[in-house]
Amino acid sequence: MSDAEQTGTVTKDWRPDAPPSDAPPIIECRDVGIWFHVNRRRKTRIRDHFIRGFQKADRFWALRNVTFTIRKGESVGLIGSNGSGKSTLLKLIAGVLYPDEGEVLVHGGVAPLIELGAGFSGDLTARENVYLSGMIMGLTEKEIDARFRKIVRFSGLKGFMDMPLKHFSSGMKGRLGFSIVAQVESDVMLLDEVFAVGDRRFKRKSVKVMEDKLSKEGRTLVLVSHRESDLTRYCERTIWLQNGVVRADGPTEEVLPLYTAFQDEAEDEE
Amino acid sequence: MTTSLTLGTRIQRIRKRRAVLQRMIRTDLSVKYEGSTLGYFWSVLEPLLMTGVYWLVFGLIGRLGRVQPFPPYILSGILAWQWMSASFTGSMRTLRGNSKLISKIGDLPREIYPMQLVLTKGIEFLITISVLVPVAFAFGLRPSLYMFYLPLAIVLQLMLLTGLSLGLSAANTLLRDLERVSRPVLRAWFYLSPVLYPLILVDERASSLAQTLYRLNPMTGILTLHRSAWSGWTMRPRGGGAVATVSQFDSWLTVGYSAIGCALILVIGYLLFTRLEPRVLKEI
Repeated sequence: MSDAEQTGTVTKDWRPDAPPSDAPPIIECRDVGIWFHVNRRRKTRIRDHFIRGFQKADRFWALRNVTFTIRKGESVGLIGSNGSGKSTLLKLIAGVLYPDEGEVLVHGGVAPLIELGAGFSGDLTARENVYLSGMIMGLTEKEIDARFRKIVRFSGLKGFMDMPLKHFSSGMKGRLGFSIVAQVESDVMLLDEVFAVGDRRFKRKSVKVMEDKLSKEGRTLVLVSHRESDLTRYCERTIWLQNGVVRADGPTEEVLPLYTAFQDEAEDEE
Repeated sequence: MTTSLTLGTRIQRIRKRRAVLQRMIRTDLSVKYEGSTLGYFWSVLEPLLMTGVYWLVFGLIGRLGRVQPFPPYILSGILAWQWMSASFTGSMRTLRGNSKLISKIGDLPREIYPMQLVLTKGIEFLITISVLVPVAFAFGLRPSLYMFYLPLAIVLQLMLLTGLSLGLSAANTLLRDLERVSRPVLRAWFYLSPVLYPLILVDERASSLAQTLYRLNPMTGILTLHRSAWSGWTMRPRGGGAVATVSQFDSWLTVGYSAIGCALILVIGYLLFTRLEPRVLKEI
């Protein structure tokens, strides 16, 4: 799928205004570090603990000494080659990982990492799944009551709502999942790649919803992406991670060329 | 170091999202009891059949059934034990089984997953215990004044199972062979608890130290409470002789030992869970 196809008809100069410089910090990372075991076969057996004890040699620091502050209303991109720690950083901000060093502070609404169809159960009907998944992602039952028709209309699955989810196609599940996500409000949006599901028409609709959400005042975005067009489109600031440390942090227009040059260089060396 | 949460904030976080917990439990129950009557039928059939088997093996052939009436005695024990064993074995997989949710949803307290299991199994216990009523009546038991021991038993068991499932769910994510050890452990625990035989049987044979140790098993006190809710139990004394009416309530000391055991396991399970949580999140 090409970029043009995904972004559809939306105007080129789309991008939320940068927040005033005195906006309060909403995400603070101070000297953040986290390690994983190098060996793929981790010490998950009792025997291994006795044999190898608690060696520190096989630790691999996915992130180390990462410090930055994101202010309310900022849109920040995370870029870096594979394994540079982008997704790990996103998970730390989402609170699904804890740092081994330093601290991650998220003020205000803690954001769920957006996941289509979180908690979906095939045995339940689509209707029941809307409630289950919506509530897992932070909506109250009343809020779902109020938005239920909107969700159904957006998904275009009217007439299927009492069908068990296991009979849905994966495309239908994706559409239902997205329609629920579209109703979830959080101060911080964390995205691992701009995603779009369903057929071309639904994709365009879903990108528009995400952009509407982003353009709301005070909304903060952290976007992990490999696609430079997405970064220039959505993020006024970009943080470049390389081998778990911050290589550059600044306006997207300045950081992207540095990153591209670095990549070209690495390619030449090969 | 990691941002550690105090007990207070953890409880508050769970309270804030308790509607999700309720919804998840309702989902589990509705899936299980879908086509309601048949689901209920199957859920009570198994304990009834087990009772039949134990009655045959231990009561009629093994002559172990000194407590009379034997079938409701076994049934009440089995129903309580089912809640325990289902929570025990199931808890090993609660975190790993929900890994997709856990690795995406950060603001949902992870304690919810083992709690979901224990509470679902608890409600299933309350549903299936209804089958004990006709069985007890059929064998001549009557509700006793001590019916209120039952809620006490449930509260203690809930403490015990919450602690167990918190600890085991976290520990098994890091040490996967725990699951293999759990079956024989559970089997030993079953026979070391007064499920099939009365506490008196132990007291007749064991030294006073062993009697105390036996009571430190939290399930001992809990099971005596389950049985004391009913009156009409009789017992053949050792070596034969006249049948005597006997209450299944042992003493408040036994209940006290059990309560201490439950509280201890709850604290240990909680500490284990909170200490292991950062590592569990990495492994998931």
